[in-house]
Amino acid sequence: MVRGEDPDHDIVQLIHRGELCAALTSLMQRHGTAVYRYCREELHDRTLADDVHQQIFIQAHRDLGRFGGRSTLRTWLFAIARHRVLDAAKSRRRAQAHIEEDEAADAVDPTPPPGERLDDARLQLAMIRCLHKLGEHARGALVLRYQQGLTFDDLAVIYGEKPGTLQARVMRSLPALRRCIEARTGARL
Amino acid sequence: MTGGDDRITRALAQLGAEHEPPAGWEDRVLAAIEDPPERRRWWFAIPLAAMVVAAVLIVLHLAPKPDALALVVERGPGAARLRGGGAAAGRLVVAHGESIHAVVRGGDRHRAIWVYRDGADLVARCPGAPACRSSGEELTLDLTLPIIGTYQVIAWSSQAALPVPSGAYDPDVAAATAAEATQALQVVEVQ
Repeated sequence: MVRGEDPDHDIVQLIHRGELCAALTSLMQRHGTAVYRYCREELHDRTLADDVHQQIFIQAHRDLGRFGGRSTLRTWLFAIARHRVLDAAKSRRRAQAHIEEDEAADAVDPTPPPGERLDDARLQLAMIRCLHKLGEHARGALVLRYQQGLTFDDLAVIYGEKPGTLQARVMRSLPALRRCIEARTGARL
Repeated sequence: MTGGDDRITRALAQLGAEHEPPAGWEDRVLAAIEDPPERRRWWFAIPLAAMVVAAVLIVLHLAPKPDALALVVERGPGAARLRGGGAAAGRLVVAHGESIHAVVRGGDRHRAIWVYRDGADLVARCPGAPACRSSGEELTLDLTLPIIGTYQVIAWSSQAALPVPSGAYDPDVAAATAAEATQALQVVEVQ
């Protein structure tokens, strides 16, 4: 990567100088909240998200010395975050395999009065539930692309897939998400 | 992308905007990296331990070993040669009233000479006797034997301090032997 392309170039310099604690501190200050919000949306469990969030940065510190600059530092960090989130979700599924799904979660939200536009709050609520119904590949790509603003090239590094594949996946997922939201709310977006 | 999709992507961008990390999380991360729970790689100590063991073995092997304990008992100066009546093998024969000169060489750090008569009573011990001398390499005792009898001149050597003799042959020998002292014996016949 050409010097100056990484928005976190200053942190990369700290890594190259071996100042890993300082690099970690800057990483946490700059990206801690974004990573946390990603964990909360992916896991829908505050306690679990709190724990995974910390584990991500502990692992980041451990791996900082091996950051090779093949992606931006932020992309590298979210790659760690995705793996940690997937592991946590898998462990939780195994632990809760005997628990029946709450069917009430699938209940349709009250339809707004005719002519009333779906407000943002209800849209968010419906979107969260519909995201949960998407497969991890689609959901993760949507969240990283639009919540975190990562490019398809960044996603390609994280997923180990081609940018075009990921773009196609996202483009297919958006209409599916919209249809789910409209079905839940009875409103048209 | 449709207008509805645009609204969804905008909503996605605001996803979780109300969430903030818990207070103090950065300090907890820093504390965790300072004291990682991972196990210490104990096996790194194996080569070091092997080196220490090897060094100890080399030191022990190269350390100078003490010479074997040697006791020489001779008749003192001025002693007359006895006619006839040869001594039994290994026994020194002296006339009563004559002196003997006992020399101990080699052995460990702690050395002593104990002289008993007839396998019973202690008649002299060195260190302790007036004519006992220690020069570092040698321990010598000059002793006059006025009473006829069979004398046991025993040299002892030990790395640890030798037990104090009680004055009786059997228990003194038992105590020194139990203390793992090595011994050299010369029997002297006083006629």
